[in-house]
Amino acid sequence: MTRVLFVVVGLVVLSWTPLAGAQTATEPMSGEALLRGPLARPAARLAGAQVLRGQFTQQRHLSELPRPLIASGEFLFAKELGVYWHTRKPFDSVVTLTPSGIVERAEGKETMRLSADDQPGVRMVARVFLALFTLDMASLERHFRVIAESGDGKSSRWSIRLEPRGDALASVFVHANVSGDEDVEQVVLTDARGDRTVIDLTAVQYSSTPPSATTRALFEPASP
Amino acid sequence: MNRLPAPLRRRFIAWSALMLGVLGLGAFQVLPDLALETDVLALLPRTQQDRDLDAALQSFSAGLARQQIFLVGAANPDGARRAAEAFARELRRSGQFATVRLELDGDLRRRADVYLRHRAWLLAPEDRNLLAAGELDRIRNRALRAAYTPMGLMQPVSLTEDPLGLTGRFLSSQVPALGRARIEDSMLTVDHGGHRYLLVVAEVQGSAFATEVQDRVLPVLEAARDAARAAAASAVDIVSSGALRHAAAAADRARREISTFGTLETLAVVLLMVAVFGALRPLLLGALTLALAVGSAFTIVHLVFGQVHLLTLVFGSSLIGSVIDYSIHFLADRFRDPDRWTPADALSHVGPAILLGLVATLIGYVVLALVPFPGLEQIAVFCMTGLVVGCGSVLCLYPVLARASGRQPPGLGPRVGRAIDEYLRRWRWDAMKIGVTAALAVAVAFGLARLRVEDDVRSLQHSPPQLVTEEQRVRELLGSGLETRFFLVTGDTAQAALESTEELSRTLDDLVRSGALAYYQSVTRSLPSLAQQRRDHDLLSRTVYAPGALLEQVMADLGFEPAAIENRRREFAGQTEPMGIDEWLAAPASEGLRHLWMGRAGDRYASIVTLGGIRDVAALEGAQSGSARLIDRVAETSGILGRYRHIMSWLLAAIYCVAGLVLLARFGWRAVPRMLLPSIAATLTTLGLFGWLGVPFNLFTLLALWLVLGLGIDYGIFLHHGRASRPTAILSVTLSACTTLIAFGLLAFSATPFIRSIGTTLLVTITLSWSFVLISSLTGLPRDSKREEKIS
Repeated sequence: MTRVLFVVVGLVVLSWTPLAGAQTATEPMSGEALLRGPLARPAARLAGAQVLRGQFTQQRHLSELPRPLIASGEFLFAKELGVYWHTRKPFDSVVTLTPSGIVERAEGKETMRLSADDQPGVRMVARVFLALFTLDMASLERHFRVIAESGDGKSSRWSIRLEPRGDALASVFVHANVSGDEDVEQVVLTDARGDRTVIDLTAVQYSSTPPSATTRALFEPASP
Repeated sequence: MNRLPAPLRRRFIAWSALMLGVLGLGAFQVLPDLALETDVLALLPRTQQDRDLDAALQSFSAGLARQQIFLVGAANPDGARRAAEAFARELRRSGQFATVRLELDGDLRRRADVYLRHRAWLLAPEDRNLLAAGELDRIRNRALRAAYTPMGLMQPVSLTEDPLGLTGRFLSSQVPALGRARIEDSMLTVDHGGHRYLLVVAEVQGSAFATEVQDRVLPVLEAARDAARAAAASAVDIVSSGALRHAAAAADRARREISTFGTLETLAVVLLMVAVFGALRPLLLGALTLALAVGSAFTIVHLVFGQVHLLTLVFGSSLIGSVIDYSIHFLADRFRDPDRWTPADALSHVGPAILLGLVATLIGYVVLALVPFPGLEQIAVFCMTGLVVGCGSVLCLYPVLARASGRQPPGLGPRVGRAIDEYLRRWRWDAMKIGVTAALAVAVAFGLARLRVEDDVRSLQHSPPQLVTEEQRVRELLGSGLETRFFLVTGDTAQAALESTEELSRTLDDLVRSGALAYYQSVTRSLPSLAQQRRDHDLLSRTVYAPGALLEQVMADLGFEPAAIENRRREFAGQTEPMGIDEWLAAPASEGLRHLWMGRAGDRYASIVTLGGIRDVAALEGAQSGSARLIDRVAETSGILGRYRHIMSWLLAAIYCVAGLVLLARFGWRAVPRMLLPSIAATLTTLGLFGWLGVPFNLFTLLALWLVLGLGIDYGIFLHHGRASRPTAILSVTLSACTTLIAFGLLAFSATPFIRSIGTTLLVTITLSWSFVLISSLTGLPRDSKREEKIS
């Protein structure tokens, strides 16, 4: 039993790399300072929101691949529930991220289910996604070193860089850049090989009423 | 001294020199690295297999026994983390642990390395099935979804290098099921009842059963607990599981009992001796004899076996009974003629009886030593050494040392002897006594029929309730406890063993699906056999890497140029060698699994498959095959206990016969029944009584009965020899029965079940044996009584 557990321990998340050397141009700013400064307005808006919905475009830039892989669709974030990620193009696929795991459905059928308990990396990714959407600085700072890259007070635009503290997230990306103005507008994930995933969020709407039954139903299959 | 004959003096000097030599050996060879074993299982014979495999299994079990699991919990996650970190730090700092693990290995890439070097030969079981079944569309669709949706972000290997995700899936399949624990912030975590628990696993250096290891480790655990409490700044709940604390508790209890019982025993014996002999000299002589006997026995056993078992020591205390008996017989001889007695008289008068008693007892122990049962060998060697040394000391040292003091000895002893003698002389076998005896015999027979046999080894080990509760809580928190059952898979070659392990794994997969088993752990999920790797390589060549096959289709769909596709093909073709056993064993990837590969054991190769959350033992037994055997140490051990109980019952009967023949040659057929029957009757009556009382009969009861055999025969011989001075002989036998009762009566109150078993048995049997032997040796048979009456 003990050995069993420790096998796991080692193999937990087989990451491609340890941290790449972080080169930061600017001084790190504490999460609280960021929330008082450049992130004050988007964070305030998010704090009041119960449900958040909008459109996304995802581009993956891969080595040896001449053109990026582009996908688009709509997303929905509901507090306490998770993220509902509906890819419309180039094909229809729904991914639901909740604290307990990730479920993927294509053409109405469940095609994959990753339980956070079985695959620890999944829990991390789910948590980070949720934190990104809420700008939950406390949670982000636990897993990342948070560095302010711009947001000098003159313009309302801001950009922060997140560098994972642990290996579990480093297996997914070595750093993430999150930027926006009133809202979170773009997330760029960069992995150790330099492959990048760029996610643009547009037409974001807030709702301060709790998620409706229809919205809840979207997450149903994801709950264990 | 001057009046002493020269042979006696020479004997005294030679024996003293011998004793000094043995004790010197003990002081300089044994004491520096003393090892006291407390595990009852260590006394049992190895499972019936070839020696090498057995040795390998033994070291596997020893490795498991070294593991200690700790769950460090607090009400809030931060507190739990700080507590666990402080706890682990303290364990590491102590240097008493070979490994202490809390956080996961940081350099995970190193772990994946060996698999990446051989990924052209490796497949996850699910992918293997899909490819073999031709369900290529499912793999294609999965790859496309990974490229366009967040699912792709979870892949451990980049899309360019692993467009179909096959390598990623193999790596993910290396994460085994782990009960309720999950990984959180790179620590194994269990949330339960509003508390967060973090897992710390430590491996002690040295055997968990060695007292010196326990003595070093236990204070460290206490210090670590304190450190955890201080670090968390809140209530900390630490539960643990592992053999060490159980073994330490057993050893500690044994030490406590030995010192408590030992002190009480000594006090009682001192009082008894002073009351009877009225001088300190007999007492000191008895103590000297005992010390020499125990010291030599301990030294010899330690030299022969490398350690001494707790049970051997318990039996050693039986020597108090027998060895002190010799000195009592010698010293009590003085009461025959208190005024003119000299030690040399005693030597000629009781020496032959003592020697004869020794021979009869030794026969029993020689037979015991010949039974191939490591524990019995040790006990037999201990007892034989102790008895020979004790007897030798009495016969060689006492003639010089046991000078009578000028004073008259107290009258208490002779009065007791005379009182019993008079009672016995008045004893008549009338109709009522015969009737009662017959009724008792019938009751005993019915009791014997009701006797319950108990061989379950678990009932013989007993841990303090607090440790048992902790063990249960660990089980509850982790969703699985330490399973003692596992599979042993063997093969003529290393590859054959791996192939058999794969076959077993497929069966176990079905059992996991059907719920008979929660999970299992085997090397082949990480280290497939060469045959399997070749099949997988072949499958990949045909279905994935062939021109126009899956790889080309998917990569073209995603928009890769032909050059990129060619790169993947070249990489595949470049990995010409499958992953070998030695390479895997040497790689960081095998850490945590490599102990399951036992490699060469004798002329075979073996691997172990461990099990978790067993719900259906019968189904597991059904999974056995010619090469895969379900090993159940507990059941095997109970079986062995039962088998040996059986063999030893017959041996006991056989030794009564042999002893009977020896006595027959010496005393003739009329005297022998009087000497032997009391012991036999006492043994049967005890067992009958146990039957009525519901006290179970086990191997340890039987060991006690062996002891009774020796003591009972001693009494018989002594009373026979002492017919001329009945009160003295009666006193002598009564005194020795009393000392034995003092020694073993206390063991009946032991908290260790197997020691209690021995104690209870002896308490009852010695009492019975003493009264039976007096009646049988010193009262006339019904017919004799009448004759004696006429004569007197």
